[in-house]
Amino acid sequence: MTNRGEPLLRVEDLRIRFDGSDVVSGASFELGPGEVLGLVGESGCGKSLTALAILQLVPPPGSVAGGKVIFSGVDLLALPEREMRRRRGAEIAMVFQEPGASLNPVLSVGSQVAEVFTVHRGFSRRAAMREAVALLERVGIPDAAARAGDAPHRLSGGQRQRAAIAMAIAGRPRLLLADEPTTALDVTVQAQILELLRRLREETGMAVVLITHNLGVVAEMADRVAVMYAGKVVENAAVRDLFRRPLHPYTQGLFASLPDLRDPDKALLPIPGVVPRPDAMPSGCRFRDRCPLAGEICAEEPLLLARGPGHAVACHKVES
Amino acid sequence: MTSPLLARRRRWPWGGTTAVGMLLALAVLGPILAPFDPLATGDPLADALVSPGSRFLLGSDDLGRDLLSRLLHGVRLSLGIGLAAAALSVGVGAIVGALAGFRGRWTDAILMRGVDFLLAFPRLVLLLGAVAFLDRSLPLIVAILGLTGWMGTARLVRAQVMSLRHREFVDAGRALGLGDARLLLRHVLPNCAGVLLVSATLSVGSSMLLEASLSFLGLGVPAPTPSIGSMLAEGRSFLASAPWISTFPGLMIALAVMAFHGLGEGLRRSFDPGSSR
Repeated sequence: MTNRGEPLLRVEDLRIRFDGSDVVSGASFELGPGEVLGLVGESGCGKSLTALAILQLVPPPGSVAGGKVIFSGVDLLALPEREMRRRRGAEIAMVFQEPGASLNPVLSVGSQVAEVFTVHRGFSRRAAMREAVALLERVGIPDAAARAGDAPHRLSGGQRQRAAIAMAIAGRPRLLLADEPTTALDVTVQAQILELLRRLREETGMAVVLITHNLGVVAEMADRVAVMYAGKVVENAAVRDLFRRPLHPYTQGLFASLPDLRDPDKALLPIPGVVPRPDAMPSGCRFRDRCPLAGEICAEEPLLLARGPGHAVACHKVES
Repeated sequence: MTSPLLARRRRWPWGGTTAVGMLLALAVLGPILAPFDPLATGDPLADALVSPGSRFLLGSDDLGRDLLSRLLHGVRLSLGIGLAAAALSVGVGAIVGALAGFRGRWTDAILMRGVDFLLAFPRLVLLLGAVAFLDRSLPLIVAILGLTGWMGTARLVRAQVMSLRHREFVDAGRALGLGDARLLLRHVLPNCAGVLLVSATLSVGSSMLLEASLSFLGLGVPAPTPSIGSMLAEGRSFLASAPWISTFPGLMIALAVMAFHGLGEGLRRSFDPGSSR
C-alpha cells in the first residue's frame, strides 16, 4: 500500500448478516484521499452491500454484524443516525447502477439537484437552483437551463446518469461510492460517463470507490483494486500490479476468462462451478470448491497477507 | 421509469370535467343568475305553490318563494360544504395514510387499527350523534363530514406509500442525507397525487349527498338558509299537489353527485394502469 499517511477510508473486517448467514464476511480495504479504488467481483459477492454499509444503509432484514468503517478518523458504524445523515451526501455520496432510478419521477431534474444544495449547504431556493443548473452544465448536460425543468423521463439514460452524478457531487463529498455506474448504459455512453467521473475526480480531488464487475473499467479508472469473492476481499493491489501479476487463483481465473486482443485464438477459460450460496459456504477458503490449486490446508481460513509491496492476497497456495 | 402524473395517464375524462365545471359555474354565478331573493316570501294566495311556468321558471313553494332562486343558492352551499369537507377528509386521510405507510411497524399497526375502529361505525349514526350534541353551524357540519370520511383515503394512500417507500429514488435520497420528513413530503407524497385527486373528487360527491341527508332530516344547516336537502324535505307534504318542490332539488343533487362520481371514476381509470375501460 502506498504511503500517504492517514487513509480517508478504512474498512476493517466488515461483516454483513442476512437471515443468519454472513453475506459479507471480512471485507477489508482502505483508500487515501483522492484515490480511486476498484471493488471488483461477480454479482452477489457483496460489493454493493459493502458500499451501503459504509453509508449505514444496509436494507433490512440485513444488518452489519461486525467490523469497522473508519472515515477520516471516525468509525461510521458507531455514529448515531443524526450524525450519519449529516455526512451522507455531504462527505460521502453514492451513484447507483440504474440510470435515473435514483431520480424522483415527478420532480424536475433541476429541483432534485438543487435540493442537495439547500439541505447540505444552506443555499436559498433560488441560489440552489442557479447552482444546480451550473452543475448540470458541468456534468455535460446540454442546454442545462432548459433541461433542469424537465421530468427525468424526458432525459436519455446517459443524461439521467449525469444528473444522478450531479446530485451526488453537489454536496462536495470527499468520497464517492459509484455502484456499477456504467453497467446499464450503452457502450459509447459508458465511456463518456467514465470520462466524466475521471474529470470530476481530478477537479474535486474526491476519492472514489468504483464498484464494478468489469476489469476493463478498473484498468481505465482505478489506482488500486480490491477483488471480492463471496463476501471476502481476496486480493488487494495497485492496479498495475494486479494486471501484471494476479496472485489469487480467483483473480487469475477472472483474467483467464477475458478475451485477449493480442491473441484472439486463445481459448477462454471460465471458472468452473458457481459461487456458493451464503447459507452453504465452505469452511476455510470460500473459493476452494472451484479452485484448481485447492489442497488440505485450504480448509483453514486464509488471511489477507502481504505478498509484495502494496499487494495482499488471501490464499495459502501463493508463494511469496 | 415514467411519471405517473405525466406518462401513465391515458385519456383525460372530459365528460366528467365538463359536468363538474358546469356545476361549479352554476354555484359561482348562482346568486347573479337567480331572478328573485331566495328568502323573500310572497303573497299566500297569488304566489304560493305556483307551478313551473313563465312567472316562476321552476315554480314556487308553499311560502311563495321562487324555487329556481332557492335552488341556485342551495347548490352553492352544498357544493361549498362538499368541497370543504372533501379537502378536510383528504388532508387527514393523506397524513394518516402517509405516516402509516412510510413508518410501517408500530405506527402503521396503531393507525390502521384506529381506522378499522372508525370504519366499524356507520357514518350517518356518527354524524347524527355529533349533530345532536353540538350546536349546529356551517363549520361544524363541514368538520364532522370531513372527520368521518377520511378513512378510505388513508387506506389508499397507505398502500401507495408502502409501494413507493422501497423505490430506489427513496434509497438514493437517503444516501444523499435527506431526512424522513423531507423524503415523505417532497418525494413520496407527490407521487400519490393521482390517488389523492381521485379520492378527493369522489369525496366531494359523497359529502354533498351526506349533507343533503342531514338537511333532509332537519339536522343540517339551520333554516331558512336554502339547502338542497331541506328543500327536498319541505316539498314532502306537497308531493301530490305540487310535486315540483321536491323534484327539482332531487334532480339537482342526483346530477351533482353523478357529475363528481363520473369525474372521479374517469380520473381513476386514467391514473390506474391496471384497469381498462
